[in-house]
Amino acid sequence: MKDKNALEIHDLEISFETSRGTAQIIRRVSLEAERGKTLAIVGESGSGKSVTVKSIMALLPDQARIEGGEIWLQGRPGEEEPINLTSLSKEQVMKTVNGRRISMVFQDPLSVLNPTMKVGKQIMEGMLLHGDLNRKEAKERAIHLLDDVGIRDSRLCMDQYPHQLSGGMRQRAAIAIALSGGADILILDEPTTALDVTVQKKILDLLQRLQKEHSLTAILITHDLGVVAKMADTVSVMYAGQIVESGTSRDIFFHPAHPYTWGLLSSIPDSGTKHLLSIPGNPPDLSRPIKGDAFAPRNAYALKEDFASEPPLIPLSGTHSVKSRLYQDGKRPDLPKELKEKIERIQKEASHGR
Amino acid sequence: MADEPILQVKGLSKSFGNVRAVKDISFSLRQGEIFSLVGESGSGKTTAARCIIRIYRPDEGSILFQGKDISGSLSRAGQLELAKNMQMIFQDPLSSLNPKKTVFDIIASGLDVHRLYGSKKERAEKVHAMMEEVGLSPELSGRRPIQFSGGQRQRIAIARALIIRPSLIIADEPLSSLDVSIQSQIVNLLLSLREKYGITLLFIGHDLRMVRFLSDRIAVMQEGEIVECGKAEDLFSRPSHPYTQSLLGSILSPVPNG
Repeated sequence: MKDKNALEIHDLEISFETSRGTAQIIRRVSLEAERGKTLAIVGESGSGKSVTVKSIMALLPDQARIEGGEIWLQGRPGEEEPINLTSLSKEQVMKTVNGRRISMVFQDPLSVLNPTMKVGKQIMEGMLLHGDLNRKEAKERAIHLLDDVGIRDSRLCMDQYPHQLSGGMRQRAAIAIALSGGADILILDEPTTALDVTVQKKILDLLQRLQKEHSLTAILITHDLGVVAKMADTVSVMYAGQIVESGTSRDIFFHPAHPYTWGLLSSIPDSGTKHLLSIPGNPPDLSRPIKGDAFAPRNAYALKEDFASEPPLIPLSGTHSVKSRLYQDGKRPDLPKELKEKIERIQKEASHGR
Repeated sequence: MADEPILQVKGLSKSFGNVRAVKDISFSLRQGEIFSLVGESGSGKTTAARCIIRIYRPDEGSILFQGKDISGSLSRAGQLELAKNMQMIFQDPLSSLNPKKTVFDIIASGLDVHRLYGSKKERAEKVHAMMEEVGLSPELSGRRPIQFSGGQRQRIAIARALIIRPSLIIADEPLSSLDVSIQSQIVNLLLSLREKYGITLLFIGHDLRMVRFLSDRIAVMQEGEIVECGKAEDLFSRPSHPYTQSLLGSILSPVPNG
């Protein structure tokens, strides 16, 4: 794997056993998360973004199976060699990787916080389990972590139960737990979707500060393009279990290439929107085999071949690639006019402060 | 009397125990208008909507709908007439659609309650026409809600509400459980139905970009009170209350930093 990357996924394939047969949920996904940077995975529900990151931490449900591909985790700087996580058992990943190298922050902090246990004890639990610290040291570190995630009265918070905290404070506590084992990679699964907008902004600011101070690598899953724009260095767009476009944040927001990405950006209203464009139809049912390009039935720009076979992944630059035949043979189609105008308008709006 | 508001809320208050969820709010909706309530969770917007549609009984204040006060007790006939003219759409269509019924029967339920058809054939025709209107194939009418996607279920909920031609629809976060590409489909559907039938819409939402696009006027709620109310464009370009300013300042622009 490349030295600059903290995590790489190569050609990952995951299937699910369902009542209607085997569903190919992840279909040859490759990703790179650069150390100290934020990779955002954008997609709609059912696109496979959550399944992809759960597979990294061996958190897949029993009916899921990794059919192929590799997940490489970089050794800590100057220490171990990279590890192929798919070659480890579920128990090994749980014991040696989760919490120590990779942690996850979920959409709903109440789903990770134990309602019957004081916050302090929950943060200390992991530290004591790994056996590196004694009780007193663990308590000091827990208080320090709560300070770090911006909880004002950290000593009081240690003795509180999750229900005594507001939604934003709970997410802060969950972030403290995620950091408690010394992980250097944070997986953020819709971390602010359940929060109000003013709280969302504070949590995202906090994550950015922590990332800088602790040189964390972040893998952010979200469907909110505003969150992506604020947080991401690189973006991968997922549709029906595949990556359809990858690039830097600027590539994706200023020079989007895939018609699906065009559709996502077009469905955000801005101050000049007269008519809101939407992507017609619904995402496909992955429990049935997919012929050709999964997006073709919803794609106004689909070519005849797209209904018969999958388009190739075409590199547009050193950072930008797209899975679309529109770019074959060096062709570079223009952005749809309405979207081009919208991007210019939003850019102008942003440079004027709002 | 075109200028007469279709809905007038005056001094509405509602408490749950010690919690004053809605404190003395007043606003009115004109015929054919899209009026939105925005605010953070706990700001009272859902409570206000539920008082209007009589899920909750208000503690104080009056609610005039088409000129009649509907905040107190109503006769059976009065309730029925209200249900014919005011309908609600919820955030999670799966929990608001009866899972045991077919989509046909769900959409037809309003026709049945209000006896709005002469024959079985007419009933079926109305349901099928309504399904097409909201972008659902009538061929799917024999299926049950679980067999549809989230966006399709919200279309079913809209068809059920609309088939009796209500004059006011209250939509409480109808987009929140939907994906981005599906949200814009539903917004466009609501706009086209307003265009066609002149329906008045009371919309509750938290996606401020979408609310701005959809609404004629917006009221901002904070801790049970309306702190600012105005035309969508004015409110967004010149927010005057500090809370509105902080709310609008939290909107994340889809433009990368740096």
